[in-house]
Amino acid sequence: MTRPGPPNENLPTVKLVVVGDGGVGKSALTIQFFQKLFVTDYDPTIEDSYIQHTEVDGQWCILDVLDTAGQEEFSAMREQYMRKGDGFLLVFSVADRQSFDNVRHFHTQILRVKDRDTYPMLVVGNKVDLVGARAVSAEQGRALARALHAPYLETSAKEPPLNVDAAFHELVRIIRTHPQQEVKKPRMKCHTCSIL
Amino acid sequence: MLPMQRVTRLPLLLDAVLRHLPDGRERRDCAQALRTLHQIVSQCNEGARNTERAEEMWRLSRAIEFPPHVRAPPALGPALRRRDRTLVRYLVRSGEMTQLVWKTDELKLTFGKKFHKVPLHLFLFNDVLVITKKKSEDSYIAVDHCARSLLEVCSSDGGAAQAKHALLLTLLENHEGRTVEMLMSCPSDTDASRWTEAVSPPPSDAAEAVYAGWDCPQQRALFDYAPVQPDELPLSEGDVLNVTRKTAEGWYYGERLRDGETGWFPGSYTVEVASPHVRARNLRQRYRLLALSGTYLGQKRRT
Repeated sequence: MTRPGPPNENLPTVKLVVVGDGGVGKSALTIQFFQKLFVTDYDPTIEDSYIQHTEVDGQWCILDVLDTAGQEEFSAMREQYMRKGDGFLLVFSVADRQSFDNVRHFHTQILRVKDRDTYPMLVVGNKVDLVGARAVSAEQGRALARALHAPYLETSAKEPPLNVDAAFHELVRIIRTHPQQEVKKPRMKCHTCSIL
Repeated sequence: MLPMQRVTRLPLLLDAVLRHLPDGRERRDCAQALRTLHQIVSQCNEGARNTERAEEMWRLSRAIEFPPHVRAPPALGPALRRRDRTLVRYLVRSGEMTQLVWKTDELKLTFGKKFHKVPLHLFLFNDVLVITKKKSEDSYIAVDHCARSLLEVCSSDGGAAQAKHALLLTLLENHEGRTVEMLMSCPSDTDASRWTEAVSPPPSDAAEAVYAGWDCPQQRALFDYAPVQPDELPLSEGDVLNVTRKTAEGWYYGERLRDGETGWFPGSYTVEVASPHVRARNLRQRYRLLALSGTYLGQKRRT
């Protein structure tokens, strides 16, 4: 497939991490975004690292999305990924009250790992296609997001997808506008490396 | 990173398989495999945590310098327990605080501030608190340390200094064996309450006393005890046990020192032995009594 591709010079890499309780649709959102597919079961062909050139607001970047499915109860492993993320999607299912309540825990853990007062995050209420099973209202979702100083989006990864691209793009915008608190350490130069 | 990422996917995959399997042998085997996988992932998680803690200790052991006048400096290098390869000492919390020190020069007290501020950086490990001064990024000089079981902390209104988010931190026995009270000011209220929580031992109610691993009583078995229930621990005369829970009915839960086995046993078969916990308890009791009649240090000055 040929299309007017992204410019090849050094594009910034943006690392996004998708967190949330088990079964809220983290993988479904990620796969819908990258492969335009809706999957119901965990599928062994699913990749575990998703990288894509994406254009957001006319600016190209490399999106590196990490889906943390399966790590819900393993906090030490989760922290390793949290350390690497530039921005976080805090996902809950609007049909699962517990997953909504747990968003706060993820928020707290991220801030603790990052040792910051604020960090680029987006609260996502997923599975809004399940209208009948809804346990969390849009207003409650917005209220939680406000309390966490993060924007709120409602999504559905099921066909036809709703706001899936919007959620990832919005997070990239949040990262871009978030004030950098510290100057990044200069990269280690190659000639200082020695292989023993 | 990727292998760690993948290992957590295996249970998900097997869970998906399990959902499509009919009842029968295959399903039971699959369920068994899922349980095993789950254990493996848990072990990976513990391993990751342990490695992280070890790296942190290694970093801190190089960053924190103990000058010669600080007595009995605690070893900060990563050391592993032989039994389960977990770290003997690890970091619980670290952060900055400002100590408010009253000026002792009475002549200069008429005008201006009556105290000065000392910026400090505290490191709370699972069993010891190290108070340092920050020299530069990643370089600290220790000024004092104290066993975690010999710490008392309470919130304070900041006293006459009107410090914000203040804590009164008491080292019942510092590196010189003295009792030191420090009026500390934290950067925020959250910080103050999280420090208080981290320093204080776990809360216990009337029905059951709970002790933290870094401050637990020790009992010695006076008689042999044969367990009646599977969750009980057999005792042989002379066994020494670290007790982490005590119920009102006299049952204790603890770990036998010689082999690390844990379980319940009747407290009446044992007797408490002198341990750092007993010492800490006595020191605390004395401190609280004195605290009732004004500050401890004020008391000491008068006597």
